[in-house]
Amino acid sequence: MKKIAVVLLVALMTMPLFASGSAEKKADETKIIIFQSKVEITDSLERAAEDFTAETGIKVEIWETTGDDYRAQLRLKLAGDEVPTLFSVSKGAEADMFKAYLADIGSGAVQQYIADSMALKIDGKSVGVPYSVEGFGLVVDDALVKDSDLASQEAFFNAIKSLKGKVSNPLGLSQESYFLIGHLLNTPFAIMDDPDAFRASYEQGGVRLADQKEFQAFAQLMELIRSYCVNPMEINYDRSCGDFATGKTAMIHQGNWCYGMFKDYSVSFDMSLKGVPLLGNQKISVSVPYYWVVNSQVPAAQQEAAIKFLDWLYTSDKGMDYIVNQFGFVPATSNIPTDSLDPLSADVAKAAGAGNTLPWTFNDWPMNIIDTDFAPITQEFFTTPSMSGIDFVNRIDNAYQSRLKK
Amino acid sequence: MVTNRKRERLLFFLFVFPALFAFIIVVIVPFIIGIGYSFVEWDGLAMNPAKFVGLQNFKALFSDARFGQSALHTLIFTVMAVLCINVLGLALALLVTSKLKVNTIARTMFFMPNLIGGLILGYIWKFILSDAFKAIGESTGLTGLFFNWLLVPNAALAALVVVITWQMAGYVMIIYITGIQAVPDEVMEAATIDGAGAWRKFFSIELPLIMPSVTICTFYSLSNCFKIYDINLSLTGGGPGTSTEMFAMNIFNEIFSYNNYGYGQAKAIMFFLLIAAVTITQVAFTKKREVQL
Repeated sequence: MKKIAVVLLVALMTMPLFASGSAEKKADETKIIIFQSKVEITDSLERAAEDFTAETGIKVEIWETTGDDYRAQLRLKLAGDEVPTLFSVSKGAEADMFKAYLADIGSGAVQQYIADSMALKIDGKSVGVPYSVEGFGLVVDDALVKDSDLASQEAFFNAIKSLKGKVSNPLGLSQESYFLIGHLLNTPFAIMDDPDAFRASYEQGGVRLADQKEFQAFAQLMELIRSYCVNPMEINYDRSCGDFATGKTAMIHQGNWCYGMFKDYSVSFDMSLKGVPLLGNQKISVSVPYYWVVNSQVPAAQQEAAIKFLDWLYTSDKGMDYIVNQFGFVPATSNIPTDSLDPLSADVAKAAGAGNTLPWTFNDWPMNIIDTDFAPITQEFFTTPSMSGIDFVNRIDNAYQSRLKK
Repeated sequence: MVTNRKRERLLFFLFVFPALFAFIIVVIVPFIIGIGYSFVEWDGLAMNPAKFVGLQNFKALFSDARFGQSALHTLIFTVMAVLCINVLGLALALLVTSKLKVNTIARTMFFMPNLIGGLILGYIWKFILSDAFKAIGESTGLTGLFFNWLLVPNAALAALVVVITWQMAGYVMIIYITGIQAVPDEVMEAATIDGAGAWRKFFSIELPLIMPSVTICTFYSLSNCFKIYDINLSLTGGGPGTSTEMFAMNIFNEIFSYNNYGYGQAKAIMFFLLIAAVTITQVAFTKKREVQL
């Protein structure tokens, strides 16, 4: 009896091993898996993938998730059995962290069209293709906000106050962490005379944000928003765009990506994208949000296929049509014509072309600090009337410094 | 006889094995691996090396103010929620075991919220407690109660208690019902004849006799409230500020946002020890109060 028991036991224990062993398929080498987070382009990307498959025979599978969940998901997916071939990272801290996973894709045909300032290079190797160029600032309703209202900081602050009676919300932010604080906080960092030098000395320690005139102006703006505008924590992105489209909000701090929403509302009034006039600034913040990168841990054939897909998307006529007309991207590569852009994207393209832009400093901040520290502090600011703008800047300062120490 | 008993044992083992196997693979093994991770510093990417730091992670726990804060929130939340869930669950159970005409329907209705997943529940209540409450407050003038609960730290914590009570009270009600139905009618009748009132009957007879149900229900609600994540995520997202960030959410953020796998894992181990200690104490405590007829 005992023997039978032992045999049975061993058989039972090893059964799952055989089961999984035989069920395991050999990975399809000509299939690429794309993992991306821009929900706006989901449908068009699926269609583009179908067209690409029809032309080349390479199968494409697309995995999706939303932007705020992307980074957590990406780590899990990279550790899984079936890993994405093509995924995206942003420049700076994030790209450095994923360094070991980034394949050298310098051989791709699209690389020659990428300007140096737009390229993602690590250790001298080209590892990324920029998705697009995006810009954010104040999206203003031209009928409600005149150019003279944004000519100086003082005029801007007065405009917020005087618009209070005319529209239900002079300046709209929304509750998502980047729209609540991440993008807005870029302005004081970016309008420094030399943002990189400032960050370097700030991260050395000893510099207080509240001592900088840029941050003092920012603190004033935050107090104004708290007293004259609708509490951003009660507004989500959809409502903030909707309120703007229906004329209830005069300005929103958003980027060219939200024009897709305005199209749904068939907005007819004129709008434009302007810089946040802190200390008289007139520049919008423009950069590359994400880079396509190829996973260096997949078989070489798959990597080749992924490079081929990127070349097709960014250099073939059909692919370029998708980029500009279907995705609504402002192209970051010099080979794609930009005649048919929507008004906000046209403002971005114009500013980028003239080099009249602010950098995105938040990619160099400690990773995820906007979600984990800045957003909670901002929520507290908007729900605690006794917290002054300078207190708020100090809290941001402390959170940033304590992340540096870890 | 001997072979018979052996066969029985073998059969027993055969039936237990699949569940045991699954449990070992998905719970025990990861748990042990997890203990290993808590001694390293690692960002979670397989290609990046993990650095052994010994007990450093556990040491850091004691000076982590945000972790301490979340421990406090979890504690307050759990105490309030366990009380609310069990008091309401027991009250509902008493209600539907009394001679009501709509007993069956009432039971179904009370149990229903438990069938809705926590995430969805959170989003539904998020709308009620923020937009709907604000609208009611503005139209009725009762702004003392009807305001956007999710913007005020204490109210947001209370909101979590309300929602989890709404979700779990129906479930513990079912357990209490079985307990109440097991109380022999003779005893209750005898008490009635002796002139005991409803309160007296409940506290002196029913409550001691349903103590086994109380043990189960408090254990269930206690461990569930400690581990709450889904409702926390969808209802408040830890906000406003970090005023409703619970243990589980703090650990998730440590691992997936700060990318400190080792440190996050150390927190998780601590979390496990705490839950184990609290629930074991609770079970031992309520067990003592169970009486046998």
